[in-house]
Amino acid sequence: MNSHSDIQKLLSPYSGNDISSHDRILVEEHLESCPDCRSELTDLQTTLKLLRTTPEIEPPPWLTTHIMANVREQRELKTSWVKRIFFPLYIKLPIEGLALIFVCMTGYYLTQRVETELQQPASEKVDKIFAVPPPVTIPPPPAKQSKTTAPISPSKELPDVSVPKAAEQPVAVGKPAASPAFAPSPAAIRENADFLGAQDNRSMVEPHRSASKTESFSLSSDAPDMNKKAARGVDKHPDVSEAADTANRTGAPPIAVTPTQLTIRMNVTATTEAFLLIREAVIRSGGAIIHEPPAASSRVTARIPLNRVAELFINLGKIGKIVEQPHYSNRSGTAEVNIVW
Amino acid sequence: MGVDTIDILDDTALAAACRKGDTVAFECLVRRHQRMLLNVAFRITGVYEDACDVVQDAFIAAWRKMSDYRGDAKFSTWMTAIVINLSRNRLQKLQVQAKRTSYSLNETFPGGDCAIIQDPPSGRPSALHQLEEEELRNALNSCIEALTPEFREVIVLRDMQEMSYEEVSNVLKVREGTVKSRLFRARDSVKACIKKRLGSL
Repeated sequence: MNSHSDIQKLLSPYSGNDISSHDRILVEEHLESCPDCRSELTDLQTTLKLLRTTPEIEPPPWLTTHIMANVREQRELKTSWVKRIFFPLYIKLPIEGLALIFVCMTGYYLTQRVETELQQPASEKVDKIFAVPPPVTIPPPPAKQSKTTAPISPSKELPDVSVPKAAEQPVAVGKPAASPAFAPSPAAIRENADFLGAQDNRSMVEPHRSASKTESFSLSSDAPDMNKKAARGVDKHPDVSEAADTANRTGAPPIAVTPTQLTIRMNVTATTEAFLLIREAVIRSGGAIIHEPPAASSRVTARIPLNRVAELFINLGKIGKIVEQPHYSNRSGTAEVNIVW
Repeated sequence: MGVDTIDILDDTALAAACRKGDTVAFECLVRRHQRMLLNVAFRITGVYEDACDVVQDAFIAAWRKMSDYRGDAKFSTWMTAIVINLSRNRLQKLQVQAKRTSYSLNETFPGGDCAIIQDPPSGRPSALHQLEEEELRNALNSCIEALTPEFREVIVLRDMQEMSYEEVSNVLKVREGTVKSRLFRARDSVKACIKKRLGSL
């Protein structure tokens, strides 16, 4: 620590009086015997003196003015922003009060509406979607009136509400596409919706349209006989009776709906287990067995949504060879499938 | 707050008044500290106009951020830190501009490190007695400007503004040991630079 280079390092703190007393003694002892260090110290002290006595520059006279002008501008900006929101009170307060009332009323209305919707069960919502307009009481037509227009036509697509010939005939089985009388009722649609989980929008909209058409028929005063026939048809088919019950519950007019009859013939190898396999295929296709065959019978009747008949074909094809595959055009509603093997 | 009462208040009280939006109190702070801050900015940037801009920007920034100042450090220390930061930014911009400025290879440098050094005088009185005061000051300013920003900052704050080591440490956000180390090396550099320019001190 007492070497020349070490002492030289201490000269700078020594010149600035930033040195400990111990180091100070060491430096002073060394300086007595080292002229180079004394010269170095003199130069350092001179430099330090120059630094400390450097004259300071003066700020320009406009500096304070400029600074304060900017500061006041900043303050004005801040204040005016506050003023824009809260002042003048005699204008702002009424507007803000009205806005508050409006917001509260809107909130109350929305809350009430949400509560009403929550109180309705989910099934009613489905009914709402396919809701038929409320029943219209039609006064009995005059005896000799050949054509009467319904007071309210649910479907604007049908300007002429006279009953088509197909509808005048008794409920035909096996020709669903040709006659609107075979269109599914809202109850059947709901059943479909339950089956499908409302996944196919097309298949849900089309029956609605058909239902409207059917309804227009029932509203027509020209077809009182048709209504009676349709009512008779309801007795024959449990599906239709269910639809009629639903229609009675919802207040809609009774609708005659008959499931499509289809027949599938197939050859199976495992005849003993055929029924079990076919039943499983029907269930997998979203259908249900409605008539269980007696023992040793090779015929079963199942009910299945029409839009899943193709899936039934595929499932049955895994069991055996389909000999006779029916053709059908209507993709909505239900079908009664007779499977013969 | 009245102007007469403001002048006798300390910086902390004035800063508290500023936080409530008192511009008169802030003006008082500006008048108190602008000279010191201008000198700090000038020693770092080296350009008077830039130093004025730096001080102006620093006070405006301080007004905006007055809520951040809680009186933990001295107001002058807080302001000096702002000025140092703004000066660094300004210096970087100036250096970038200087790099982009084209120059002629034939042009001779009027001064700087490449200037011809006179032969060391012998047997003459010391430089302090030989040279005029102004010439010595110019040499000193040039040597301070030749320092790197880190060394320049400590020598400006400690030796020229005579701040304590603790204050310098707070302003520069470095430890006191680092401040001392930089300071001693900066002094040696300035001394060597002046001797190089003038021959001797």
